Amino acid sequence: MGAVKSLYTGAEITWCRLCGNFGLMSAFVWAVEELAESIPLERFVILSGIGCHGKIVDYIDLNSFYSIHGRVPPTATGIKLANPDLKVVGFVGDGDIYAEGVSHLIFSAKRNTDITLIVHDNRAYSLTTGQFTPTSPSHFRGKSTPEGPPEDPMNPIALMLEAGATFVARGYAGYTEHLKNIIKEAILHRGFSFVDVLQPCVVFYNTYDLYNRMTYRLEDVGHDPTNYEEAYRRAKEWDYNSKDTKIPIGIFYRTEKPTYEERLLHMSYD
Amino acid sequence: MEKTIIIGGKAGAGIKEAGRMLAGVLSNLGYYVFGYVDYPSLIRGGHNFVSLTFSERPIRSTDRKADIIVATDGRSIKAHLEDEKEGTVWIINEKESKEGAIKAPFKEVAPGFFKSSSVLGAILKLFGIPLEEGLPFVTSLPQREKNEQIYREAYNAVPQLYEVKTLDGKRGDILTGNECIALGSVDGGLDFYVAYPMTPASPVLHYLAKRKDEFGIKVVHPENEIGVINMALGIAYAGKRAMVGTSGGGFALMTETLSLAGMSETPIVIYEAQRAGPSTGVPTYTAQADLLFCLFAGHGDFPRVVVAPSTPEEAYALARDSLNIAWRFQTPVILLGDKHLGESYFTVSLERKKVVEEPKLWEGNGDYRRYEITEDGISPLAFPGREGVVVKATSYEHDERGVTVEDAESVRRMQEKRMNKERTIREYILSREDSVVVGGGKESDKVIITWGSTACTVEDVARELGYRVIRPLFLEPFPSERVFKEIEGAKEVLCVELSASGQFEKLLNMNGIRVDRSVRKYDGRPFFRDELTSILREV
Repeated sequence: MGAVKSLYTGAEITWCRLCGNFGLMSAFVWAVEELAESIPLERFVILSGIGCHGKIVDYIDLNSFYSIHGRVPPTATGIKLANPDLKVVGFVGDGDIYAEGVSHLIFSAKRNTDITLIVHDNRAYSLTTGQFTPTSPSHFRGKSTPEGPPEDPMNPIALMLEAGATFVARGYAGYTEHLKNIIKEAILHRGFSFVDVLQPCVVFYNTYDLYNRMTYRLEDVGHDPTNYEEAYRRAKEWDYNSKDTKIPIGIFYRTEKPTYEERLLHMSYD
Repeated sequence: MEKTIIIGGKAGAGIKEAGRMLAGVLSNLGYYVFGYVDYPSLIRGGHNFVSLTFSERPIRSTDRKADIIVATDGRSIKAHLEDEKEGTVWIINEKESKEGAIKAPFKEVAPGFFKSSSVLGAILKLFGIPLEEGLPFVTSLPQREKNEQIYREAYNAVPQLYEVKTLDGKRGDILTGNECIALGSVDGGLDFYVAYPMTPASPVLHYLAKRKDEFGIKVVHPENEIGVINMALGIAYAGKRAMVGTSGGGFALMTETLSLAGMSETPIVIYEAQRAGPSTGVPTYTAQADLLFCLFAGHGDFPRVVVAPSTPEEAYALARDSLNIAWRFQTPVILLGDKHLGESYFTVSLERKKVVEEPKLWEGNGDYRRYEITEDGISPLAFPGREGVVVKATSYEHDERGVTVEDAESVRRMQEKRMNKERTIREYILSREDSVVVGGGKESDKVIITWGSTACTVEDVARELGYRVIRPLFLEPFPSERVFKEIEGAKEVLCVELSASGQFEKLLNMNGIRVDRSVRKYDGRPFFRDELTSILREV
């Protein structure tokens, strides 16, 4: 743990024991350390929205902007526009970004803003003690919907593919090394990179068992992430509702196109 | 010579353009010009008019009743019958009829489009202004030949009734308040203008977008006003100056982030151009009824500055200052204007000068603490990307480093830090000569207290009617000490404003300032000179 400690602020960690956020934070810090030779630490800016996930910026000793619920994407975009040398990584929650901030999310993908968004998708509002989010299954019995939500979950992978994201991936907080590799690729990607991270909440929606049983890795089945149709087909395999279908994790899609910053600032291509 | 001309016609018929060209010609002849633009929220049809006054002495308002009424269609004749006074000269379209009216061929470049050149031709001839004075304007329009032809035709069809002489020297350029705000922001070191379209702030967006390369700035149009202001905060956090522009409805969407700017101590300038509300209201008309909203918007306690220019010169200077103030105190500044100041045009003599004050920067000793507690409440700034520095900005209550805290002692200390900053801002504002401006008949013991664009009309009539005019340019922190000093000894204090509930009067009352009479207007229109004169004569 020596390496992690060097990037740690010393703030008291208030996530629950075994919270999926630990796996996610470890994967990110690991990725940053592995990238340290090419990207100096001072060039990172991390952001977060509001929810259990948001505390991550208090724990990691990097430049940060602890934003408000749902608003990470525009703030991140502003930072990147003002200083394109910075590597901007936004941590967001599923309620945070798929509900409150969904318009900003779609526009980040549409613009191909050169930022990375990592979604702590625990499929529950946990800091507000257990209500359903846009990715909760219809059998999720939350405090605002004791009989389960009267609506079906959205599929953020399919949404991002449709919205024009140039890097779309899903990771699992339980598989730290696999997630670390996805995050590294996402940070290195030029353009909008999106990673939906399945992150169990041990108090309000413990999904470790589900994800341990049902996930499989896209690279193990020879998935070609440059093929959009294939990416879309894989994205639709799991609808965030069923408990008995396989759940692909890994990089669904990646492609290149000019970024928002390049187009708006008239920056030259490398 | 001083005359008021109304030019009326269908929306899309080039009425605004005709007014602006006429203003340009009169300005070139050495006159002071003021143009009020009245148009509905639509693109074609409807009824538009401009009311333009020119004079040998400085003016910033117009009369309701006109010396000359130019009606380019039948509807305009009916619409402006109420603006007629004894001796009003009418110029109407040759296809229409009205007793005693001069007829002119108001021809269109294309059906339904742009009668502006023919309107200009008719008016210039009426005034005895040489044809050549209008040519540079007409020939810079698209379809140049056609425009020049209809301009000459109208010029030759109308008799000369006046002799508008060329004066000695030009008094300034024709500029709108919005253009002055745009130029002021550029000269205050603007790096990014971020806005979502909303009347009447959009002209700033359009003006800056068109000239961004010349000004060396970037202009961004995001998905909505929430995206706008959060993007602007990101820009400022990374060290660049940002301004956003909107009207009341858009500002309502921004208020969540206004608090974030206050808590995270991120510099931001918000140009709020008021229009007649509530809600969608009357989008292309004016009001001063977002005042209390701007003073109180946002949750929690945090310092803010609200500054309200009255004149185009002040719009320029205060837009420039707003950026410097936001960065000096690391807090939101609301530049509060309105449709009347923003879209009216004025003869303005601007002395442009770049003023970009360096904010308090971190000197590099020890570990950087973004929210270091200092005597004046202002923490030194550093920006991400600097080696060995970690810059942590946050919406949560925080310690000096920017890490979340919730214990009572830390919460109290940080609240007090921000309140210390407010005290520093208050001292700064009181030290400014222009925190309160005094005009009109300065020795009079009859006082009008007013604010924003309403002061333009008030000052134009006050001297003649024997009123002293007091108007604070800074509304938060409110320079009450200065207002008290200026108001001392007044026998009668009148409060003039464009608000049905008397929002400005409420602000005065909150600060212990009592007024004897209120003059309020709330029909979406500004005060006109003749109208305000008769109101003041009655009270």
